[in-house]
Amino acid sequence: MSRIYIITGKGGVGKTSLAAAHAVRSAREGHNTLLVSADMAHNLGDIFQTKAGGYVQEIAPSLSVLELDPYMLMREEYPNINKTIANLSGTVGAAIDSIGETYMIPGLENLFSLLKIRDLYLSGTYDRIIVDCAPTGETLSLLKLPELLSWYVEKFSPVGRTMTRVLTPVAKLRYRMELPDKAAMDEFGQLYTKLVKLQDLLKNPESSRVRLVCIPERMVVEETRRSYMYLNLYHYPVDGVFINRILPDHTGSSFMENWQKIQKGYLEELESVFTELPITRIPWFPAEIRGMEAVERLSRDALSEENLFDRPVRTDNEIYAPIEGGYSLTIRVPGASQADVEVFMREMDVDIRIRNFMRSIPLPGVLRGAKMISAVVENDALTICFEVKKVEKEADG
Amino acid sequence: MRILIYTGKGGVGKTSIAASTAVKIARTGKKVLVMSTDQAHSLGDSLCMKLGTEPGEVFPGLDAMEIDPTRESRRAWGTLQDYLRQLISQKANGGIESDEVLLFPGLEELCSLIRILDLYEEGNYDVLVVDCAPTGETLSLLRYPERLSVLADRLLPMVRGVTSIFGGLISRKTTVPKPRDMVFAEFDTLVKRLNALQKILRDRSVTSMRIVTTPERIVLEEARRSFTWINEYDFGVDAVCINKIYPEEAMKGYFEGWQQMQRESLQLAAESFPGRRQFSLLLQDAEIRGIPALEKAGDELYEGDDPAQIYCREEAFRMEYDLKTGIRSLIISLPYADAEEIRTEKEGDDLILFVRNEVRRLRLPDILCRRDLDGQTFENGELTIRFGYPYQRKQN
Repeated sequence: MSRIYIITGKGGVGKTSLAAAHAVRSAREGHNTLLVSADMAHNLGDIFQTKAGGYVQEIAPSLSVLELDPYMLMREEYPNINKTIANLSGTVGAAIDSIGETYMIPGLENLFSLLKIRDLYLSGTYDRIIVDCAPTGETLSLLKLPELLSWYVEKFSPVGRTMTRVLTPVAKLRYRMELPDKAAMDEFGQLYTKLVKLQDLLKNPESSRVRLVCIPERMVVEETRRSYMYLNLYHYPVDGVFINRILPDHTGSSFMENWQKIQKGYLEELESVFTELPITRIPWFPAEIRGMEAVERLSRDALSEENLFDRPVRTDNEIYAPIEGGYSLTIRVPGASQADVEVFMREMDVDIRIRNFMRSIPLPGVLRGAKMISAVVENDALTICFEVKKVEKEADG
Repeated sequence: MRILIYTGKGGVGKTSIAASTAVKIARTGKKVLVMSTDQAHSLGDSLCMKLGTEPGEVFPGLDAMEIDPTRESRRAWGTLQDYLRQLISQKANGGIESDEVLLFPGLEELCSLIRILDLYEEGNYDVLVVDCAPTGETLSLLRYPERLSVLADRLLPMVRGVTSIFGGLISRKTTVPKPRDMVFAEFDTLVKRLNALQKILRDRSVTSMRIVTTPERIVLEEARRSFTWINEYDFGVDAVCINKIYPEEAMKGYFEGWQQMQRESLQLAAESFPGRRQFSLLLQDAEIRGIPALEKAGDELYEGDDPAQIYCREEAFRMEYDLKTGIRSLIISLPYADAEEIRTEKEGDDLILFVRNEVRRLRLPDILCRRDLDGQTFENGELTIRFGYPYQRKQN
């Protein structure tokens, strides 16, 4: 059974080198491995000191690399949608084509890359596909939309087709607009189906895993916590967090030792957030990771764990459910009783103290300004209920 | 009013830089507001005080606030959001997930920026310093208003017409009512506000974008890409701040190898933002917190300068597209150069420009990366570099 490993994290935390190290390790085990970069700022070529590009290229036994270009994917694989978008935006001078190429919502382009990765997965050529990917939980949350809209798509798609046929001449005459033609409508349909299937593929722990990369720095810790919250909210199988760039104990520089103390604080914070996940600590190497040799060293030193590609995973770490007037959040607290547990709510986090142990969970945006109304421990599970204040739209000005 | 937007990716220390800048300018007697648009606010931490979602005083002359993106987003298009939510929750059992998905992360950030427009129009401050969460990505959303207004002008009357059929259908098959006129009006207002926002952000005499980066190679690469991006959409970068430069004493022992790398990176930085003022700040021995620490950092960063000034008004480049041939051109202004003194090369995603003894490096816009150089001309102080069709993709 082949599997996709999505290595994600904010830019600059070293996720490309970590993805590369995963790929090298996998290839060394004899598994046919593809390393894909879905980032527009590609640097696979840089890391392996070779030329990588928009087509699959074998760079070592069982190891191939590919750099995806979402703009090209959209143009080549969805030409009619592309044309429709260009037409819809109207005849604004010479911008027509450039719209087709660049009219993309940030984050959305990642979805095109992920669709391509699904095709590669289905081709059955590779045992493991390692994806160096920028999307955070926020992007993956967009994959929920097709499912939410499915009822409408099924009900209105035939009506929509008839309507566009009837309206096309009218639209052209009265509103100077080109409506999507039949080919474009078909393509929208296909895209929709593919997106639904993509979501299934990426949420299934048998076929996909998500791994978070971060560094022990304030802003990055914050961003990583929120990414993880989103991934949990949408039930993506996250099976590990990798903390990169940890200063070693003896740097020989008192200046760095000071920073090491600061790092320690953030490492503790990370541990209190990712209590349910295996944490892999990676030391800060005193040189940039470049060239096959450097990647191999990283893979040997940092990814030596035996079952690296076969970790146990759960997708029910934080469960939200709608309740009257709000939502409840349930987490596992094995062996704890009501008396052991204290819950505090800060602005966008809940802090949970279980005996001497602290855990902190960031809350989704809809719970901003919510009020905690109860926290009950029952059968090894803690359920916290939130009341969501109905936000009235404020008058402008 | 001056608007200074500090942008850069997480971890480069842009909040500290923005806060230092605000403190520095406020000390010159100008009335300053520093605001953060980040979801995960750290401005309060920097200033060592609790901040609200409305301006509050830090010291006389300096106010600070942390924008609440969800609130701004509701202000901007709450009615439309509610309508969509109603439409979705009607038939799909989405629970919290569907509520959350409608918050559209990118759009929330954009709505936070609308708050800048409000403050600009109120005109209560001399300088607005913005600590802007993301890199060029959010700003790039601002290229949509023009297109959106085309859509709004044409699509809205049509959608209004069509809802009499389509809306009726929705109402019949569900209990969701037809979208009310309010929904349309809100969309219209949103587009107009975004348009106005885009105008003031593009006005070089009002707004300056400042990129914050560290000398680390990958971070710098992203900053270079961001510079290209911001220019591509015609916003102006007038300065670059290089933060967290390792002092000599940090690069002893284990980190000795960094010296060489840092030197190379600083060289690359020097070549990458021609015409833009560069400021640099050494890595401090602890996180920069509290007014005295911010003051010290501001002095080190700007020395005797007043960072409220405009350091550069020119565009780095502009792009043109020939519809017939499909050739894209990159046009760079080089007013004092001669044709014989200019040489160009493409290296990976970079364009290297040799002008006399000077080397300039530009990270190419994404749509040009996969294309090849196809000749150049130099006329009236402008260098036009043509880029041909992307390579034919090899079939596997």
